[in-house]
Amino acid sequence: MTRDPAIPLGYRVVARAHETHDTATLTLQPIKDSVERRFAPGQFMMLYAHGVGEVAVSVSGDPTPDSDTLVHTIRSVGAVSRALHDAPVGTVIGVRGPFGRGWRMHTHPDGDLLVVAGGVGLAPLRPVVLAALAARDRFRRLILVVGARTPANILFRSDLSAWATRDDLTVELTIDQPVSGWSGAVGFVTEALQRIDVDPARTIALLCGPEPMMRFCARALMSRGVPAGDIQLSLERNMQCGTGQCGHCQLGELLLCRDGPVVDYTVAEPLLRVPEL
Amino acid sequence: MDGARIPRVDERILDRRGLDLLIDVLRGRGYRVVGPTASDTAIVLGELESGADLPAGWGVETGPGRYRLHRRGDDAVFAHSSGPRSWKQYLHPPRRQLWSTDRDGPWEPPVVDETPYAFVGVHGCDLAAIAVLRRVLCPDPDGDTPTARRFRSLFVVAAHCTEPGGVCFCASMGTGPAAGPGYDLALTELLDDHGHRFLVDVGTEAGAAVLGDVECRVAEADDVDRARRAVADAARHMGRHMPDTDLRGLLRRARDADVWEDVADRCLTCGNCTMVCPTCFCTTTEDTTDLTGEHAERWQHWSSCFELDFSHLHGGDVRTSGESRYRQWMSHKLGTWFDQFGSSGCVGCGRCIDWCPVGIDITEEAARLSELLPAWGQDDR
Amino acid sequence: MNPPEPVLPAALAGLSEQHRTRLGNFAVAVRFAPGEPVFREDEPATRCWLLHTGSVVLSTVIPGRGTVVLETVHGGDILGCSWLAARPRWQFTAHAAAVTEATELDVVALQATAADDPAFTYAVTRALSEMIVARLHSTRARLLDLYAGRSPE
Repeated sequence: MTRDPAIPLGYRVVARAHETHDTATLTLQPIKDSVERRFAPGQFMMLYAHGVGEVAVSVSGDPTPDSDTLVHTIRSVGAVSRALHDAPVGTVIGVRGPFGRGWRMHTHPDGDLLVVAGGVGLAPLRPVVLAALAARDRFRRLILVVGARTPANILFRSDLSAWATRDDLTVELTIDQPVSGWSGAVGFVTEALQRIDVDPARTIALLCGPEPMMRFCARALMSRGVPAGDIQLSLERNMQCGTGQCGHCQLGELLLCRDGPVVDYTVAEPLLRVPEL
Repeated sequence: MDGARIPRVDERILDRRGLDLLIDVLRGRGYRVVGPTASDTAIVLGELESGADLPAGWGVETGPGRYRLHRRGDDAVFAHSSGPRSWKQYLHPPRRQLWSTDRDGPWEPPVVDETPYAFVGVHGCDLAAIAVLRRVLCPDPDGDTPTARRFRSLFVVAAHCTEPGGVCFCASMGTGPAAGPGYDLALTELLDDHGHRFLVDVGTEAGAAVLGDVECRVAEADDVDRARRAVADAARHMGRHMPDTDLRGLLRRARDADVWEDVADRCLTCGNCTMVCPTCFCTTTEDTTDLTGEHAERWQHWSSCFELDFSHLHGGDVRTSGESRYRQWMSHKLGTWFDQFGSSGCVGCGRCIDWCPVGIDITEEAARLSELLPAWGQDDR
Repeated sequence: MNPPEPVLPAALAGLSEQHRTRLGNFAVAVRFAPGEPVFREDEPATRCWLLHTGSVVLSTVIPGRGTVVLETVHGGDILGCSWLAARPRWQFTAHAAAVTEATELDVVALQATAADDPAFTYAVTRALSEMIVARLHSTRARLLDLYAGRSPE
C-alpha cells in the first residue's frame, strides 16, 4: 500500500540563499522520512508553511546527485509564499510530492536543447540545465536564453556567470528595463530568441515564464519552423491537492497537477487561445 | 462491492419482511446501513435503524426547478427518483479533516470512525455515480487513504428502477434503469395482487453470503418476468433524454464558440447543480490554527467551479464571467471528464435539473449546442 | 582596396537570387568601433543596418535621469526603422557598444527604385518590415511588464 499523498512530510530549512529582493532559494532536508520518489526536472512539490498554508513550488535543484535534499526557489507574492520565502534556517516545512509531468529533454537524439526562461521561470528550468550539463554528450548544442525585468531580478547569478564562461553552453541574457551600469542586452526575451540560429529539425525547446511570454516565444519558434510538438511549456493554474482530485487546476481537459505542468505546445496552443478557459 | 462476481443460478424472492431482515443482518454484521428515508419535504438519505425507516408509500414529482413529495396509494419503498442528497456525502464527506499538527510536525491524519457502509436502495444512476467517484477519488484503488478504504469496505444493495421520474435520463446515459455492474445485491420491487416482494439479483460472493442469512425463496418464472418487464418498461418512460451524439466532441467544439450567452443569461452561478450532483467532486482546502498558532489543521470541504475564486491565480481569477463558469461545468461533466477519467461524468439522475432555481436542463442545453454546432464529419482529436 | 562582400541575414533569405544580387548595389559593409556613434537623434534617417556581429545601444536623454537605454540591437537584428516614417528623422541615438560589423543599406536610393522596379522595391521593403514588426511585437511584450509580481488583494 502506498503512502497517503495528502499527508506532508517534515523537512527542515538547512540553508537559504538570497536571489533578489523578493526571491530566495531554500535548501531542505528531511527530518525523518523523505518523499517516496526522486523528482524529475519540471516537477513540483506542495510546500506547507505552518499555520499559513500550502503552495505549489517547482523544484529548482540539481536532479543528478542521489540525495534527499530538496531545493526550491520561492518568490514572495502572497501570504504563503512570503512565509516560505522568509523562513529562517531551522524552520520546519511540510512537503508533499513530487507531482506532475516534467520536462522531456531527450526527444531528439543528438538534438539542440533550447531552454528559454522568463523571470522566476528560470527556477523550474535550472534542473534541466544541470541535468543536460551532466549528460552533455547527449545533445549537440545547449542554449539558455534568460529574460529578466531588471539586472537586480536575475536569479542564480553565480550559476549564470559560471555557465556563461563554458564553451559547451551558450547563454543569452537580456533584461526589459536597464539601469545605469548594465552593459548587457536590453530587450524582451523574444528578441534574444530571434538571434539564435535555430535548426527546426532537431530543436527541443523548453519554455517557462509568464504565460504571455511563453505564448510569444512559442509562436516565434513556430515561425522559424520548429514543430509544435518540439516545444514544451510549463503551465500554471490554482493548485491545491496535487493529485488530480480537487479540480482547481483544470485547463480544458488537462488536470495540470497530473497532465502538466509541462505540456507540449500541440496540446497547449488550442487551450491557451481560449479566454477564461 | 469488491467481491468476485458469481453467475446467476436461481433468482430469489425476498418479501417485505425479508427486506427488513436484510437490513438487520447488515447491521448485525457491523455495517452502518444507509438508505432513503422521508423527511418533511424530500426523500433524503439517512442511517436506517430498521426497514421501518424506509420511505414506504412516498413518491416524488419532479421537474425543472421542482421537487415535491406526495403520498402514494401503495407502500412501495424504492419508487422515487433521486432526492437532493446523494451517496457521495458518505463516500466523499462535505467537510473532513485531512491532518493536524503541532508546530514542527508530524502531520497526523485524524482518527475517524471507519465503520463500513452498506447502502440500500441505490438506483442505477447512483450506482454508476459511485463508480465514477471511485475512479476520481481513488486513482490508486489499493492505496492506504481513508477514501480508498471507505470504497473498498462498501456493501451495495442496488434497486433496479421501475418508476423513473420527470427529470430522469439514465437510459440515454447507459446507467439505468437496470442498475449495474458493481452491486453486491440488487432488488427489483414488485407490488401487486401477489404481494409486496423483491426479486433479488446476486452480484458478488459477499452479496451471496449476506443473502444466505436472510429467508428467501426461489423466484417463480412469472415473477422474474414481471420484474424484468417492469424495468424494461421504465426505460421507455424516461422524463427526458440526452441527445445521442458524441458529447465529448460537441463540448470541444463549443469551447471556443460563441454559444454560451444564452444559458449564462439564465444561470445564477449559484452552484446548486454541483452540490446535488452525485459525481461533482471538487474540494477546497482550508488551513487553520488555534489562537496560540501552535496547533494547525487542514480541512477539505466541497467547493464548486461556479465559485468566483475557484480559479484564483496571480491575484485574480481566471474564470470570471458566468459564461466561462457554466461552460466549465458543462464541458467538464459531459466532455473533458472522458479525457480525465475515461467516462462521462454525468449519470442521468436529473438532480441538477430539479434543483436549478431557474430550471436549466442539461439535456436541453446539450440538444441546443448539438443543433448549433453540428459535427459535419469533423475529426475531433 | 575592395571592401569585403556584404553579407545578408536570414531575414532577406526569402528574396529571389535576382533581387538579392540587385540589393547588393545598395549595400556596403561597415564596421563600428566600440563607442562609435551610428546615428543621432533628430538627424535625417537615410540608412538602415543589418548587423552581423557586435551590439548597438539605442538611447535617449531624459532630463533628471540622464542617458537612458531603450534597447540593444545585436547580430542578426535590423537597426533603424525611422526611414519608413513620413518625416524620416531618427527618434533615438545609437552607438556601438562593441566592435560591430554590419551591412549598411542606402534606403533612400532603394525607395527611389520603386518607379522602375516596384517588385524589387516591394520585396525588399517587405522583408525589412517583417524584421521591424518582430521588434514591435517584442516591444509591446515588454510593455506588459510580465515579470512584475502581482500582490493579491
